[in-house]
Order: sequence, then C-alpha cells, then structure tokens
Amino acid sequence: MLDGWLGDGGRIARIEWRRHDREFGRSRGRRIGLVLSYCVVAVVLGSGAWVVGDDLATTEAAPSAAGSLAVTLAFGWVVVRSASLTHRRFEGLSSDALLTAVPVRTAVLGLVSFVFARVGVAIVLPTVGVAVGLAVGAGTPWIALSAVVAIAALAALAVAVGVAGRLAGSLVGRRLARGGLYRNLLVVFGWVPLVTLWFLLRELSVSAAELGAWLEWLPLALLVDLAFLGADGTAGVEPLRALAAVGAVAVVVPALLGLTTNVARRLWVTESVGSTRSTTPSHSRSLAGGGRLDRLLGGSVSRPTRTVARERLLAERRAPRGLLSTGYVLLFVALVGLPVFGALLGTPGFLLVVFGLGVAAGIVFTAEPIGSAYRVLPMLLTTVRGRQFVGGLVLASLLLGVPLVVLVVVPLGIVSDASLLETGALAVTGVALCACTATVNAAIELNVDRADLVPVSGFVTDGPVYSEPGWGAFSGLAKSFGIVSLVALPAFLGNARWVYERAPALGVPTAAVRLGALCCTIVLAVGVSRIAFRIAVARYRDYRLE
Amino acid sequence: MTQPSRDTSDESSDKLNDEPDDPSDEPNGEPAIVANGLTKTYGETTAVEDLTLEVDPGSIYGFLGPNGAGKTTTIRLLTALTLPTNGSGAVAGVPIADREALVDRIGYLPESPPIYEQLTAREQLEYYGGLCGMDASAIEERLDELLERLELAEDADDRIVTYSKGMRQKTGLMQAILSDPDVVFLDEPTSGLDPRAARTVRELLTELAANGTTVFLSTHVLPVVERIATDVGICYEGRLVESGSPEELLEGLETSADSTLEDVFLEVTTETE
Repeated sequence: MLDGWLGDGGRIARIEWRRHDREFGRSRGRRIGLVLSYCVVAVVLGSGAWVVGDDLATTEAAPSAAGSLAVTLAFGWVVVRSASLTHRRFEGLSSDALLTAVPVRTAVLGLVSFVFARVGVAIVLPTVGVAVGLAVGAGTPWIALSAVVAIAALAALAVAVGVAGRLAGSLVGRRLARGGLYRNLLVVFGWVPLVTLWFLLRELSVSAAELGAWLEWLPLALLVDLAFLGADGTAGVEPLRALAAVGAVAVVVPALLGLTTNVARRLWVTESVGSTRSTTPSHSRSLAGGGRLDRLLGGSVSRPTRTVARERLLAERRAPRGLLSTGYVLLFVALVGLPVFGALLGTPGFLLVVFGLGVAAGIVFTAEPIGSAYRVLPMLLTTVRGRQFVGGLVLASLLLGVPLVVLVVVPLGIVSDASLLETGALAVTGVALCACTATVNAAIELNVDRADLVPVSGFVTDGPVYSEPGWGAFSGLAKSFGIVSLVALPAFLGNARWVYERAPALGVPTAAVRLGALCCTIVLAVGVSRIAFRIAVARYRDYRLE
Repeated sequence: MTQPSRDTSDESSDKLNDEPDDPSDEPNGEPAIVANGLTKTYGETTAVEDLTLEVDPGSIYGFLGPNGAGKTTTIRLLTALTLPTNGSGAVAGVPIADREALVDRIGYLPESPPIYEQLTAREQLEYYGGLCGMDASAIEERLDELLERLELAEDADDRIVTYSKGMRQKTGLMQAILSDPDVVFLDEPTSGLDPRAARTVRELLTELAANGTTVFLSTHVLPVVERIATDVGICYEGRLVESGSPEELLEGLETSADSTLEDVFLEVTTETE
C-alpha cells in the first residue's frame, strides 16, 4: 500500500516535471546556460566557503553572524522559489482527473516531490561548491558532510514552508472576500517593504556583521551550528544546537506537509468551486455605452474604441492583472531608475516620480494583451479593427494616466519650488510618457504568438490565465522600459543640476534648459507613440491564429 | 425578429478609425461565400486541400465531416483568422485576405465560445455590440429579445464563470448573431444544449436565413443539418468530397428510400476511405 502511495506520488512528480519542462520550453542552449550559471554560482560560493574554512582553521572560531545572514538569505530564496513552483503547478494538476484516481495525500506528495526535486537540482552544484570549499579551507572532510546535511535540512524546511505558505495564501484568497485583495496587494507591492528595509538599513549604516548578529537570534541560526559541526573543536559551535536543528527540522517539516495536505484538500475538495453563484456577485455594469465616456469622447473616438477601453477598465477592476506589471515597473524604477538616473545623472526626484507614474499607467492595460484576450481572440479578430483595438488600449491607459499624473504632479508642483509653467510641463510630460509606454508596449506585446502562451495560475484570479512562460513577459516589459527611458533621457539630462547650472554661463536661462528638455521629451514621446501605434495596428491586423 | 442596425454615426468623425470603405455594401447576387482552391498546410500535414465551394446568400450551409477533416481550419480560413497556403476566397464580397474589411460582415462562434469568464452575459454581449458599433438602444433591444428566446434572461447578470456549458454556448451563439451579420459561421452551435434550447437555436438560424443572413454551419449533429440546411458539403481529409442540397445527396447515392443524411455521410466517408 505504502509502495503504491509512494509510487503514485513519484509518477505524478515525474509527469509534472515533464510538463513543466515542455511548458517552459527549455532549449538545449538554455539548459547549457542554466548549468553554466549554476557552475558560476557554485564557484563563487565555493570560493567564499574556502575563505570561511580557512578562517575557521586559523582562528578556530565559527563566523556565526555571517553564517546566520547567509542561511537567512538562502532560506528566503528557497521559500520564494518553492512558492513560485507550487503556484505554477497547482492549478495545472488536472485535479478532477487526479482526485478520481488517487487520494489527496498522494496528489500532494506528487506536487511536493516535484518542488523538492526542482529545488534540489537547482542547489546541488552550489552545495557541492560550498562543501568542497569549506573542506579544502578548513582542512577536514567532515565539515563538508555537516555542511551538506545542514543545506539539505535548510532546503527541506524552506520547501515545506514555501509550499504550505503558497497554498495557504490561495485558501485565504478564496475564503475571504478581502483576502484575495490583500493577497494581490502583497504579490504586487510586497517588494516595497523589502526595498524600504534595504534603504533603511543603508541609512542607519547597519553593517552586514551587525545584521548577522541580529539574525543569530532566529531559530535558523541553529543550522549554522549544524553546518560547522564537522570542524571539530571550533569555538562557538555547539553540538547540542546542531542536534536541535536536526530535531526541529524533523518535526516541523512533516507538520508542514500535513498542513499542506489539509490545505490542498480544502482547495481541491471541500471548496473546490471557487466561483459559485453564492460567492460571485450578480450584477452587470453597462458596457453598452451612454455614460460619461461617451459624453466626453463620443464625437471624436469611435464606439468600438470606447468599448475596448471600457471593457479593459472593467476587466482590470475585477482581476487586476495589469497591476502586477505595474508592480514590476515600479520595481524597475526603484532599482534601476533611482540609482542610474537619480544617483548617476542627478535627475530630480520629482521628475522620476512623473516618469514612474507615466510608465506605470501606460503598462496597466497593455501588459500581455494577447494573454488577456486569449479566449476571446477569435471574436476580437473577427470584430474589431487594429486601430480600434490598439486605440482602445491607449485610451484606457490615458483614462488612468491623465488623472493620476495630474493628481500627483499638481499638488507636488504647488508645494515644491517648481513654477506653474514647469509644473504644467511636467504633467504633460507624464501624460506623454504614459501614451508612449502604452503604444510601445502594445506594439511589443502584439508580436507574441498565441501558440507560445501557456496557462499559468494567476496571482489575481482563481483560475489559470494565459501568459508567456519564463522570462518572456519580463523581457517585453524590460524592452518597453528601455525604450521609454531613452525617450525620457533628454528630460532627465536637461533637469540634472550639473547640466542646467552651466547654462547661464552660455547665456541660456536655466528655466529654458529645463523646460526645453521637457518639451524635447514630449515631442520625442509623441513621435515614438505615433510610430509604435502604427506598428501595433499592423501587428494586430496581420495577427493570425495559425 | 427585430433587425438591429450598426450605429456608425460617429464613425465618420472617428479619428482613430479612418479605414477604407467596405468593397460591397449591398449584396448584388454574388455568392455569400466563395472559396477557390483553398489549401492550408502545416509543415507536412495538409489540413485543407484545394477546397472550392460557393454558398448562396440567405442559405444555411451544413458543413459536415469526421473529426480532423479540416472543418475548423476551413472556417478559420474563411474568417481570415488564418492565412491560406494557396487559393483565395471571399465572404460577403470581401476577399478573405482583408480581415479589416471583413469584420463588419461576419459573426463567428468557434467550438469553444469566445467569452470573458469574469463578465456577466449581459456585459459580454453589450461589449460585443459596442465593438460592432451598435448603439446602446439597439444592443438592449436585440439583447432582451435573444436572452428571452434562449431562456437566459434570469441569469444574464451572473458572471459567466458560474455558467454551465450550455449557458456559455448560448452566450457565444447570441454574440455571433447579435449584430445581424451578413454571414455567420457556427462551429457546433448546439454543443452542450438541451433539446429545448437546441430546437430554439434551429428556429433562430432558420429565421436568420429567412432574413437574408447566410449561415455556415459546421456540426456533427446530422439531424440538425438535415432539418434546416439548404445545402450540404461533406469534407473528408481536407477535401470537399460531396456537396449539394440534402435531397440531391440522398438521391445521388446508393441509399434506400428511408435513408438519412447520416447514411449519406457514412457512405461518402467510407467510399473516400
């Protein structure tokens, strides 16, 4: 019986492994690239481990603080990776077929085994690197063994936390009306507190050693003792703490797996119908027209274009899929925009806010238009023309972008030392960047082949959504971000202190340089938007369901 | 049956919509659907081979064939959703290479209804009507009539995600015919419908044809074709192997007096095999 249970779980894991590989299309080149990257990570970590091992041999004192920091980071990475893998595979498990063939616990075993196997493959080379590095540095092979056991324990714990946490998140989203919203907000903007924490630590000048010392208080630090247990006679390593680590993992992991089975049973069986009539609102919002949008634009924008925009606004309100892309854009702005444009070029923060708002608003309705309309593409392509469809996406973007930019820029302009003219120019720049982002992103995303999309479980919906696998969706966003950044470059440069402060010496007023730079970006944005719009329309017109 | 009209009053001033005029605004006696040697290959596989057919305006053309015969690919070719490898065609006088001009003339219900699950049926159909350029009052009038006839009025404000297969099918069908297109392509329109709803659909299609709409009906349900089709084409391995009125097909083959279209279908496909 046990053999059958384990055997079925293994079979499910193997099939999921194969399906995952095929869905995410690993080419031979990409596989080789992946292995090479693991090798690089292994060498880097191995070198670090060699230094640590050498220090151990010299000082005979375990670097507990640094070890705690490393363990915490590794634990966090594995949790996120496991949650992501669980998220991708859970919806695709064909639960109806599976649960009529095997018990829930077997299906869960298959899912968990798949995640363990994927994570295991990802960490095997880095683990070897660390083990060898430590052993060579410390001059004893036993530390390699204890390090491998510690890493395995850490991975087991992190995978169990990641799988259980992700499924529990889905259950909360399904059971609580507001839970889904909070889950979405956490997914989209969860990085904000992390980035804030990072900046806070930098501002407070907290060193890695100090941070590590704080982390030593966490139970995860027990794993550091386990890792260094093989280095006999090292100060600061307590065998009892190492044993406690093994014991804790031996208790916590099965408990988490039990929790996972329970949660999965609730998701699959007890509350399997996520959207029933009792939980789904019965109410229609008019999409036939006759509202404010028609009164405002009825004379200048066609009905089909207005209808596309109206539907996109409603769909985004019900399943804020584009908001997820906005999160990534804001992350780009925070991680790339601030250091590159803010720190290196000296672009003022006000302009970066305008840039971020414009790009974010431009992305919302043009993120993956083929994936969003996957099921209705045959209807759309046989009903709407290219100009109407792309126009509708751009219109929806502007309907969001214009008020957003104005509502943020005008108050900021009033409280800052910017002149009225400058504030107005900044607002127009924001709107122009929004339109530019929308058209550029639409042109890029309409080049995606429908056949390349795969169903993935949506962060913001209960059912699967269609999306490009792997880095495809991110590469599209990155291209758009890159192009719009180039469009904004004149504004960034012209408003950098080191540029406009030199202008008076050349007989040019400072304000003229700053405003001229903004105008230059506005003109550039309009030009790029027109070209991108034409490309997007042509791509829609020539789109075929081959 | 009310005939909805597309509101194009704002199209002339539409700055985002300066498309060329459609080549034919009124039917002028030419066939509603023409295919000349349409061929579609995917690598080594030929899905449709040298398909030639003509369908008269206002007729119901039953397009039959076993699984994998090329029926869906033929519809995709005629609706310009895929490009032919060879050959040409026209629907309502518009070449099938020009999808931008074709969109005003056709309605399409694929095998899987193209509807957004997060919308309600009313929203989905209002959305479609808006995309077709119909004004709000025309949409509402037509919508109420269709919802009533297909017995979906009570559920029209529920989200489609909660619908059964049949209810989704009804929504998809209403969508395909909402704007009263010149030609409507239906892929298995009675799939998942109960007998009562299936009968309503048959009546609706007959009325559509009587009012001048050409219905291109691809289905496995032969009794449906037998009852309402004015012309029938049988497709096998990508080729049109037999065509004519149901009576002609019954007369022309080695069938007995009480033969049905099913017998014809089986005989034709077996002979070809």
